[in-house]
Amino acid sequence: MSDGDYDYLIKFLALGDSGVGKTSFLYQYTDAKFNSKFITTVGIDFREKRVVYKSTGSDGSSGKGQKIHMQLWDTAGQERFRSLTTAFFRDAMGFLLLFDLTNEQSFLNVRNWMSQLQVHAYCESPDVVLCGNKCDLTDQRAVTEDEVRELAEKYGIPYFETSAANGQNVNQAVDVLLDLIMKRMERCVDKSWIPDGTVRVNGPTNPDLSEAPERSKCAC
Amino acid sequence: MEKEPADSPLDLSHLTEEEQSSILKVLQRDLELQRLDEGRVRSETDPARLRSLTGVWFDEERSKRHRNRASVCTLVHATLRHRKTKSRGKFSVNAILVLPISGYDVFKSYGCVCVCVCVCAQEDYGDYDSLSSSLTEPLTGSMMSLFSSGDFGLVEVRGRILFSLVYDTQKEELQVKVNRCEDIALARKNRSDPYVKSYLLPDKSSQSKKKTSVKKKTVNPVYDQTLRYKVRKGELPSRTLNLSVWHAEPLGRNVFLGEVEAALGLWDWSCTQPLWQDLQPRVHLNPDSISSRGTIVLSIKFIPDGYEGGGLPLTGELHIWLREAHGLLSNKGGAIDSFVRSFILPDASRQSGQKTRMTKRSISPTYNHTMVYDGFHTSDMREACAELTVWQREGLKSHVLGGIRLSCGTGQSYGEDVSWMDSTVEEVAVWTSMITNPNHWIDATLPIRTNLTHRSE
Repeated sequence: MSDGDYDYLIKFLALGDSGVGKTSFLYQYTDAKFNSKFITTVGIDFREKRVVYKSTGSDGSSGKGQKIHMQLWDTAGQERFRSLTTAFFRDAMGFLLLFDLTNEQSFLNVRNWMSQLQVHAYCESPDVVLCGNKCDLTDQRAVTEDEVRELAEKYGIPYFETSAANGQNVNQAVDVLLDLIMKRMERCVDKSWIPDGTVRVNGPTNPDLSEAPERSKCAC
Repeated sequence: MEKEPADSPLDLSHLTEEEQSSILKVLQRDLELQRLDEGRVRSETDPARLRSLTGVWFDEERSKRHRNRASVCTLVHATLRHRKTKSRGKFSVNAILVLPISGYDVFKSYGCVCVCVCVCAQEDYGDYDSLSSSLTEPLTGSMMSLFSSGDFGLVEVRGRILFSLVYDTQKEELQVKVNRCEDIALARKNRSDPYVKSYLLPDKSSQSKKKTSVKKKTVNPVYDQTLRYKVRKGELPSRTLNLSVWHAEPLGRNVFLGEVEAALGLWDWSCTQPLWQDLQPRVHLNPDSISSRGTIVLSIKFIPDGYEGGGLPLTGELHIWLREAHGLLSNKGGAIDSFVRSFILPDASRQSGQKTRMTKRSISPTYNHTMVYDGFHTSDMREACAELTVWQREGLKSHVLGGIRLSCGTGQSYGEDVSWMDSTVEEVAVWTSMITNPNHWIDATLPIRTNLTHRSE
C-alpha cells in the first residue's frame, strides 16, 4: 500500500466515548481481526486501507471502479486528549460516530459529539454514520434500537448496529460513509449538477442546495 | 461564514513525554502519506475531476469555514516540538577533540524497551498484555514476563522437563529437542494446556523466542519437537538457554508453570542423550536486570579546576577513556561494525556529542578512545550525566544497541525533573566514586542496557 497507485485519498475519523470500540472497529475493518484487550488509544492514530469504489449513477448505472486509499483516523475517547482530537476533526471528510450499546452514557453523549462535530468539522453538516457497537453482547444491551433510530433520524444520519468482535455491519457502515463522501465530492465539483429530488440520507434539507449551484456557493 | 480567530497553539503540556512521542510518530506517518499523495502524477486534464482527485475540493470547502489555517498535523507537530529555551546548566560544555569527528547522524530516539508492549502483534496463543506504547522494538506480553516480576498466577511449580541439545556445526545450528514434561502443575482447576517456550539469553528479542505447540489438557505433555537457533559455535559459551513451560490461556494471560536454564558454556556437548531437569520457579528476574547488549569497559576521571597546580586546569575536566566493549549483542548476533557516542547532559548547546571511530566486524571491539569535556565546576558533576551509547552500523544506517548513563541518578538536574538521570546503582557508584576521588582514574565494567529512558532533544 505504500505506492501512490490510487485515485482518491479519503480521510475518515472515528470518534466517541472511551471504550466504545473505535480502535477495534477500525482494526476489524482494515484487518478483519479482533483484539478483546482494552488498550486505550494515545491521542490519535490512523490505519489505512485500499478499496475499490463503484458509484451507482442516478439512473442506476454502475460507474467505473475507483481506487480509494482510505486513511482512517482513530481518536482517543479520553477527556485528557480532547483538545488534541477535536483539532483533527476539521481534516476529516467523513465521520464514524460510535457508541456502545451496552453503555447508556456513551449513547447519551452522542449528542455532545454531534455538536462538537458541528463546531469543529470542515463544514456545519458533515457526513456522519452512527454506529451502535458491541451488538454481539445481546445480554448486556442497555439501549433500544428504537431510541437510537429516533436520534439518528433527528440528525438525518444513517445508523448501523455493529460488532467489531464479529464484524457485523462494520464493512457496511464504512461503505455507506464512503458512498456519502464520494457523492458529496461529485456534487462539489460537478458544475452541471442539478438536484433530482433524490431523498438525501445525510443532513436536514439545506435550502442552499436547491439553487443552481456555482462552485463557490457549494454548500456541501 | 464564520470568522475563525487566528490559530492559538494547542496546549499539550499535560501529556507525558511518552505520549507526545507516540503522537509525533503518528504525525510522521501522516506526513509520509501526505507526501506520497502529493507526489502522485496526474494525467487527468479535466479541471473538475482534477479537483476531486487531488482532494482540493475538500480543502476549498474547509477553507470557507476555517480560514487560512495550517493543517492540524503541522500545528500539533509544532506544539510538541516547541522548545522552551532556558538557561540550562551552569557550565558551557566544550568538547575537546582527541580524535577527529566525522559529522554524526541525528540521534534517533530509542524507546524504553522494558515496560512497553505493541498492540499490533497478536500472538497465536493470546499471550500479550495491555500497556501503552512508545518504542523502537515491539514486545509482546509474553516477552514482558522476562522483564517484570509480575503476577504469573498462583501456581506452585512442579514437575520436570526432558530435553536434549545438539549443535550442528555444518548448519551452524543449535537444536533444542524438547521431548516431554512430567507432572507439571495445574494452571486451571483441573487442567493445563501446556507449551514450552525457549529463549537464547541474553537475547530477549522476538527472534530469540521459540515455542512448541500446545498440548491440550495434560500434565504430561509429549512434544518431540525441535526448536532451532542459527548461532555460531563461538557464541554458544556466552549464551544461556531458557526453557519455560506455560499454560495457554485463550482469553487472558498465559500461566507460568516453571522453567529451567542451561548455561551453554558449561554444557557437555558430547552428551546428546535427553536429560531430565526439574522445573524451577522464576527466580532470576528483577525489574532492573533488563536485557543487556554486552558490557562496556571504561575508565573515568574528573580533574577539578586548579587541581593540578599552577592554576591548571582552568576549568574542571571530565575524561572518559572508553576502552572496549565485550560481547556486543545485536539483533542478528555475530560480529558487527560499531562505534560509541558520548553526550554530556544537560546538553543545551547540543554540542557535547562526540564519537569514536567505527570498529569493524567484532563483538568485542577495542575503541581506546578518550573523550574530554571541560568547563565544569565540581558542583556541576552532581547535576550532569555522561551518556555513552553503543551503535551498530549496517550499510548506511546506524542504530543504537544500548548504553550507559553515568550520573548521581537523582532524577533531577539543576532542580528540574529530567528523564535522563536514570542511572542504575552500578552507574551511580562509578560516577560518585569519580567525584570523591578527583584526578583519579576509576575503572568500570558496566552492562550496556537497553532501557535508557527516552529523552527529547
